[in-house]
Amino acid sequence: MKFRHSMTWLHTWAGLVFGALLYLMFVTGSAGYFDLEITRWMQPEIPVQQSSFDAPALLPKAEQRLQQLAPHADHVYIELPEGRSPYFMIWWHNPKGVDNPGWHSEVLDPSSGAPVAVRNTAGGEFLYRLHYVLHYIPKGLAYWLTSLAAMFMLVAIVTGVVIHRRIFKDFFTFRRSHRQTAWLDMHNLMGVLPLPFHLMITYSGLILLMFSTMLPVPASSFGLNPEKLRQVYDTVFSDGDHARGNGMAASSLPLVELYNLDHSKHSGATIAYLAVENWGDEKAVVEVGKLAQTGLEPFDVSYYQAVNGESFKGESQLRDRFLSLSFYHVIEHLHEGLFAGPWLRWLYFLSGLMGAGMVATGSIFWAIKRRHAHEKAGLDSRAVRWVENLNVGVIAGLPIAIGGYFLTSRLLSATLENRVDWEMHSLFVVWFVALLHPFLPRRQCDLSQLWAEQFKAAAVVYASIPFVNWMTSEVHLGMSLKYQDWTLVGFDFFALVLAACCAYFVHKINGRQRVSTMETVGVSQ
Amino acid sequence: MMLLACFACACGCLSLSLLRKRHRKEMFIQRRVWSTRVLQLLKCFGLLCLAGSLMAFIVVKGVALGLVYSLAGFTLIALSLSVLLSVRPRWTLRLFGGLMLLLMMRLLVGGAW
Repeated sequence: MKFRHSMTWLHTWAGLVFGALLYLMFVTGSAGYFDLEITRWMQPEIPVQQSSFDAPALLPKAEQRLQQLAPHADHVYIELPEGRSPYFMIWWHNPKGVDNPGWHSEVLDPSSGAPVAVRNTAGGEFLYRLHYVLHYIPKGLAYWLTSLAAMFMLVAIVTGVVIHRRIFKDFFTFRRSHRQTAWLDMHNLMGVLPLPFHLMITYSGLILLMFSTMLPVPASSFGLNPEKLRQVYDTVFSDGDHARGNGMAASSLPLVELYNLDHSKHSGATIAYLAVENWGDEKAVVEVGKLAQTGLEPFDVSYYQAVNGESFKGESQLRDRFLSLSFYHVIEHLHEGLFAGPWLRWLYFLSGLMGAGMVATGSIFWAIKRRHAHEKAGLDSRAVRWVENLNVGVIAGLPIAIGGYFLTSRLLSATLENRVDWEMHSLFVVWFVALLHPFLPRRQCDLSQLWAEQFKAAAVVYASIPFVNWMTSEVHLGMSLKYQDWTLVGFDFFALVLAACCAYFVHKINGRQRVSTMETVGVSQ
Repeated sequence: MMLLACFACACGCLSLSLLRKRHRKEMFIQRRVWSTRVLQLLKCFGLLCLAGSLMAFIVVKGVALGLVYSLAGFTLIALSLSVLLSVRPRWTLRLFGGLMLLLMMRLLVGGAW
């Protein structure tokens, strides 16, 4: 076997073996770039912000609420509705030995500071986590599976570049006229144009999960004891010495004073959050995060002693000391894209979808090629049909399932017990039905009909999203347009665009089907 | 400056796409043979435009973010161009001319974003 041939074989199988998982990872990972926006849509109780946020007036109310709700908390966090975040939210962490240990949160009204009762939802966070933690299986196994898929993807990318002889010549080429060539060209376009993104996202994905999959490396130095390894991990990613309190109670400056202090120091910067470590302790530290203007960090962070407002250098010192740690953080930020503004976020999303498209077109192209080969050789093509059906269920079924997840979130009662779990189950139930659909016994059904049916279902699901939003909340498209709440406008509008795309696919498939039927009739006459 | 960087990127992509005979045939009604020298010039111009666009992004956004913006912008522009060349090749130059006009107007009105 020649080198290029062996690379072609490797490219095909490396892409196919984890094809469905990679598709899921790309689609849900891309949706994860808009996790906050998705969660916002799934919690319509959050009031539309009608004026700019008045932090100096509302911060004392948030602090007061924290003192009321969490007098024994050791960490507190106040998120301000600035930048992407629509939330004015307080978080607190109760240490062990106190009632309700762990993290808790409450949403506040950004115009009055009063608590707002919002429904529990898995939100966009679920889609984001789904792309690497998966669901229904242990976390460790999921890490291994997603890492293996990323490794296979990396192999497929590298071998893809090797086997693509005319990678530069064919750069802008998309020949639509011939079916098989069109799929190959589409696969090449989706793979080659965002090649740097694909390389970055797979490599960084592997690096981010290295503590699970490359365990032998730290284990060779620190042994296999999980507690010891946890300690090493905590040391590497700790926030430095300032994170430790001394247990002596002391009163801190009001947070609004530190807000004003930081605001006067960094005029023009937008403060996105305030966090207090060791709350109520003599060594309490206030972290003020501002939306970063340049660089790959999402926030520019300043640290202050809570007792006297003295500023000091924090975590960045630790990163400066270890080059490997700063490399890890760069990789992490590049992967998560938290630094990205709206335009760049959309481009990240588009590149992610192109990754999903690359995997999908690769699988479709493989099935078409196999079908031709089988028909030519007069072989039984039932196995190929099985793969084709699976392609329909996976590729068209997942968008339907995600749309179904959004609808379920709105249609389930807000007070239902375990509603978060039911939301998550709904995605898999819908996907399972979509996977079964192509395998249902029928008299006569060709593949294009299956594709058309699934895209029709997807079009209906996405077209009904703004409608269901209007029926189940007060923040419908008209209202969100009136108050210029672009997050909600964007969500409803994007659902309509997706519905239109799916309807267009149905139209194209039906058109092609009509032409082929007429050709068949013409030949037989 | 960002608008200029995007425009330079589009110029680069268009010039490089014209290197393919197939695209030239689709884009221009009049068929004429393009000399090797012209093609080489086109290649140089395209690469220079892409390099210029990268530099412009870096100047505005810094090295790290500029690089990310540049690659993302390039992906979007190249994808749009590929689709346009496949669906409506004759529109490519018209659209490009329109973009150029818009840029000129924007520059005249005040600054390039």
